[in-house]
Amino acid sequence: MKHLLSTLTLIAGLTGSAAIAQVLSDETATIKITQWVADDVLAATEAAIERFAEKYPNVTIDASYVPVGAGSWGEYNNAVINEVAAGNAPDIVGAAIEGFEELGATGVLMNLEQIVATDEDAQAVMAGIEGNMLDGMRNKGTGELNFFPTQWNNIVMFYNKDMFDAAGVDYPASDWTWDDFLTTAQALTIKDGSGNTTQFGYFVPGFNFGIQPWFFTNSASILDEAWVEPTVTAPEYGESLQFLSDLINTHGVAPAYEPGVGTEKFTAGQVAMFSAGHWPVPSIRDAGMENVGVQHMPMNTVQTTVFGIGGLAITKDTQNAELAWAFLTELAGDEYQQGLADGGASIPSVRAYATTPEYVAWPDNSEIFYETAATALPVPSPSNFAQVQEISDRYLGTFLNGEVSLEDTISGMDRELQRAMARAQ
Amino acid sequence: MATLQQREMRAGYLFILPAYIIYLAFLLLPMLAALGLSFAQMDRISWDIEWVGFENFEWILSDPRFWKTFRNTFYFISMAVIGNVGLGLLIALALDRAIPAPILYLLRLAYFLPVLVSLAFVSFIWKFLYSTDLGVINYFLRQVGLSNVPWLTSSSMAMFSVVIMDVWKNMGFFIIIFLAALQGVPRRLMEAASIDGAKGWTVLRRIKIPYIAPVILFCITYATIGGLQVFDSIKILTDGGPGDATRSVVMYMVSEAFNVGDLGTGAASAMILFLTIGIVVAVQFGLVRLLSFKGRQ
Repeated sequence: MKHLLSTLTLIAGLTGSAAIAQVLSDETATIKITQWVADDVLAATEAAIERFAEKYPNVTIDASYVPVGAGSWGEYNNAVINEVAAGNAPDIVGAAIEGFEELGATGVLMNLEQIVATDEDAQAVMAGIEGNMLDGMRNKGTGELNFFPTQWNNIVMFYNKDMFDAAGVDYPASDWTWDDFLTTAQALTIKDGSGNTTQFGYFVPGFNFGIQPWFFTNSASILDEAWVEPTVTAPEYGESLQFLSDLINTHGVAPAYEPGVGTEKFTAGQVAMFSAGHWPVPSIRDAGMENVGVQHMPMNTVQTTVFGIGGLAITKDTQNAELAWAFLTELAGDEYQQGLADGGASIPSVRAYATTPEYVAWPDNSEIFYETAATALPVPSPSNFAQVQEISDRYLGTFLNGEVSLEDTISGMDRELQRAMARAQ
Repeated sequence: MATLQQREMRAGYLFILPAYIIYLAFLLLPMLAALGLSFAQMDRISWDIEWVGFENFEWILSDPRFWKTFRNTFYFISMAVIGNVGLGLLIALALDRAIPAPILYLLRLAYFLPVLVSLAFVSFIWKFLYSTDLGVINYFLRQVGLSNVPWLTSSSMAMFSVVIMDVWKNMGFFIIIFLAALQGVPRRLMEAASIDGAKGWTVLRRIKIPYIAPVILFCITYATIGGLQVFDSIKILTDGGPGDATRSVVMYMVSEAFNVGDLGTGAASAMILFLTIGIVVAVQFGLVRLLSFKGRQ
């Protein structure tokens, strides 16, 4: 009842004062916000706090940040849940899609659907976002919109054009296949006189988000579309795993599997291709690499990729729902989107900011980042995401380094996932 | 009217009160809460609690992954104790001799410096060094005609790699302790042995080692307890992998409590770990008493 009242108060407040952001407020409060550690998030938040202070000089924004080690969103989700469990819930929570279901399942987040419907600025932001991504934002269990979109990322193939030129290999075509990819990676793998590999064609992504396209482009996934039933026993899932293993253990075109994105291997000239989203772009530029291109992920049965979207939520227990929403929209508004575009670490969720000539100027073929928004699939993010990620990482690590057979990997994963998903229901 | 003794006693209790309040708040109460949780299923958010008796313990003890992490932990302890205490003692013995002061200080600093550096920091560096195909160690191995060693990517090798880093990081601490103990061996004992014609190995076996035996046992106990609680270095180097090859009991505990969200099984595994540490420490303290008693005879 208390939560319903705070939501209704927020809606009433928004409809009652359409120009809430333009009025210099004398309200006094502290708004706590928890987000993940990333340069662009920190910069955008600091800038938003400054702008907000001009409109609400007596409101303090208490921002805290939780690190996300090696793409481990499960650990981030747990950190936020523990904060809530300890009775220290922030007013605003930032999360990636990997946390939407897991944090939503705690029942502590507001449904923002009606609030967005009464806020013209928020509606404008939503209208500028690809429908496919908005669908991925709604909680699959409750249908609620707990998070307001901020930024997103997908996975594409980065390639070092100098290495392609040196090997006399054509740059990848947009419709390239797994076979084309393997041929390309083989041509880009260089050995010295002693047979030691000095340059690998590809780095197999050692993180959950990055490896998903290798399943999706083969019509496979770790879970079904509802993110309820494990689907690892499907032959396509095993085929994807075997293909990745062969890259490392049979063809020798990729180094031993290890956790990580592989950006530093790419910038050090140790690998010619790696898969990532837009976030490594600033560090690749900082490393002095100029001749870099991106291309769609190669396909086996279908051309697609994975996407993950970030968002901000308001907790039901907040004592300052109206102020929290005001800061949330300040943080996710036009300046934020422009800041994301300028920083280059993530893709702005609003198409207009992600498709400007400046944003797509580098690396070559950057248009494909937003092009995939309409067709990319959301990263499987069930309400027990942290556990599913842990199971997946554990089995993939042993299989891809040739320690366990494919059959044992699939059966072990299936057994643990079946149990985990049953417990999560 | 209280006597002087009573007033002193009251003052004494008041002095230790802050420390006891901190102990109660941050150690004893959480321990009691963990004990209670180990017999319950609790929702982290709503705090709804259901008493389940020994169900959490039954679940853990029938989980092969738990036993695997237990074996891993004891393998780590045995190797880390041998490395840290054994190698530390050997190096301390080598340093406990007439060496020009600048060289001695340099050597001590070289061995002790890793102790001072943040474990998280060195773990990241070692992770890069250990990289199978792109790491520095394997690069030099290849230069001398050897093949790549799968330091962190092989189940049979990964824990040994963790131990190497642990010994590199912590051995200096034990070297300093042993050096201090060795330098505390009474001069008169050494002189008497020398007069009696005792030489290197005999002096070491008959005088130095027996004299510092309690220190050695302390170091073994200290290294064992540290080994039972190993978490951060493994977390950064391998995250418990490949598979469960390097997962420690503490990592299992954290995973059950916070990844799975099952605080009950996490607390139950913490209780089993607590009991294990208690048994190991009791055995080692018993050995100390036994050796001390024999020493006095």
